[in-house]
Amino acid sequence: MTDRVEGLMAAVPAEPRGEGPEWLQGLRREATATLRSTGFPGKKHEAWRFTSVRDVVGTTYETAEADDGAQAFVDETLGDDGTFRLVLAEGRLAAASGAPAGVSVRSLAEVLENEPSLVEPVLGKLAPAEHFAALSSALFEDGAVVVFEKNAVVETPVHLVHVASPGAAPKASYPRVVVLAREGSQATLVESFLTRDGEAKHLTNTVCEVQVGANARLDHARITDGTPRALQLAYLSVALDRDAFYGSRVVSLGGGLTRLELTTRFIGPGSEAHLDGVYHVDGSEHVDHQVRVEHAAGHCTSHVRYRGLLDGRGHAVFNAMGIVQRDAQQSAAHQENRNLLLSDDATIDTKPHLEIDADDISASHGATIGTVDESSLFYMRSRGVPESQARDILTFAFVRELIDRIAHAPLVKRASDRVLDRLPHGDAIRELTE
Amino acid sequence: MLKIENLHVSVDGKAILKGIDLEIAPGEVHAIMGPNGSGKSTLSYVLAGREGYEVTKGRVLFEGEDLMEMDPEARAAKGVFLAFQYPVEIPGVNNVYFLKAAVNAIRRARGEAELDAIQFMKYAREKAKTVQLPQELLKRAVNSGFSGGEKKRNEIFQMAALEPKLAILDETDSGLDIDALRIVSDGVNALRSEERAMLVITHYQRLLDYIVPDKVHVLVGGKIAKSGDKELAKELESTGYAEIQAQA
Repeated sequence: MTDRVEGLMAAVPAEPRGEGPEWLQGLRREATATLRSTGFPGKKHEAWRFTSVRDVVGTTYETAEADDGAQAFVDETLGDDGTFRLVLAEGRLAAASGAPAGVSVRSLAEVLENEPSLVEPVLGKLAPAEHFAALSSALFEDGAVVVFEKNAVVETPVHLVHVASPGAAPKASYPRVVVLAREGSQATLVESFLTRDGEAKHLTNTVCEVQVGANARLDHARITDGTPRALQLAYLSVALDRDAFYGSRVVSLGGGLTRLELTTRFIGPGSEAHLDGVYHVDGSEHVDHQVRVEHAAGHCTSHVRYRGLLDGRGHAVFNAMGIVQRDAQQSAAHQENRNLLLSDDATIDTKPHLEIDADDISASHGATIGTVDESSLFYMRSRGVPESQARDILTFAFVRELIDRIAHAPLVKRASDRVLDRLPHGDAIRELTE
Repeated sequence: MLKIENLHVSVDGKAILKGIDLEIAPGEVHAIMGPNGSGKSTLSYVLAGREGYEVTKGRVLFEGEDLMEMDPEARAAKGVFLAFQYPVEIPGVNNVYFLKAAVNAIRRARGEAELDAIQFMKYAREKAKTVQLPQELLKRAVNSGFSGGEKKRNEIFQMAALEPKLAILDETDSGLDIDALRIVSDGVNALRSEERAMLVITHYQRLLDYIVPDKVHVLVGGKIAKSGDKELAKELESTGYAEIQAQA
């Protein structure tokens, strides 16, 4: 290694950050050592085959400071959406008061200072230990800790809004989130990722670790609005205890680079996960979803349903891996990825696949790439709807079907609106569907 | 209103319709019966304008205009409506929004003012009542998760809302129990009028007890083998198609 380190690796200190409890220091040491020895992934890594991070890694970033205007920006952008909303400006949680009963939301930095044992069983335990997840473990300073108390039924969605504020020079932030849905709790969590206008590239490198306790139900929407300058790399790692439910509703709308690595692990029997995703790319945008489901316990069901709209010269990547371990009998693992090609120049690389070591299970996987359904198109035209309008309606309906599963009506509306904002004739479709 | 002259149609190079002649005047209800594979559904699809059906000979005039030259949506705007044998499920598209798009597209084509959301909802509710369509189906995705009877009722509901001049009903009775058949037939009968023609395609004579036709045609091997009045249907019920097939 040369004396002068450039690019993203320059952010990694030779000596890891020293403060905090021993387990945290250990996590940081290991992450730093892993990064220094193995570095960042290249094309030869299966999960990164179709997504180049050369540009991400080759850039030298300043550490992003919290942006004072973030709260006002969020209020203006999102309006009143009926959620309990908290802003994380560049990964820093400003204030967290007024949470609904049964919920606590705290700054991760504060928890690590005052009550580190709260997050010790989860932080760094669920997320991968390499690549950009290791970068987060080495460098994160703050983030949020969300706890849904035992048997709490929380009607109001808890909404974490991540705000990135690009500046004149490239900046990076490392928001870290820990979610503990205690036994028997029932709640909706929303994460929104917004990027403000700005000149230079901005890297948001997020790790979110979620523990869903026994018999708990957590619905987790994750809406990412991309911008051309936004590089958004994210890990979402979920562990489900027995008889739990986890619903993931991912909406990824463009961006210079938007990547999510979602890992869901069943560690107790009788649980169910619905992993839905919607994405849209246009221009030269790049969106990558890596969805991994590990059935380590029996009698669990997973449904992976991702749908994409591909326009312009956009590039989408979808990779699903379902693993059913030998003892995980009576598992059901289903994966479906469907794509509508709206342009000849757009690209999709899709690969749903399963690795099954148990014999008494049901499983399916499939991917389609096509245009709108011809029989639906004819049906609508035969009723008088002009062809171009029918195509527009069917294109939107293709993703709307999954967006409708988001648990909170104002969020369904916002996600739909954002998709429509990006579609040709979006306003016309909006008029028809309002 | 509708004039079919020596119509020959092929699908994938295979001749299905081999010279159909049929004329329907306003106010008339014609029934087309026939065994499986006789070309009944081909006739309905070719009239509605589905792709993949090649007219190799003959022509179809609708109010004097060449129907085959028109896109499906243009035919709908002129007043042609097809109730599908297998109505298509369209997840993600709300039934009432879809119908509003259709009604307003047709109103636009006719030079009439479009209905706004409130006007349309009122209109849709009234029409739903006339065909006994449960109101909650209006808000569901088009045909998505509907029972067989609900799908067919939804077809008749759309027909009521679009007020076509020529309604083609393709095996609307197939698979219905007697209660659903009555409801669908009542809906169709309520739409019979002096100005409206109907072409009722069916596999079963039973439907014609409920929707009584002015004329009955028997389609065999892509040709109309026999035509008559409603008594012909009854005759077929007792003799079956075999005799006519043998003659054809």
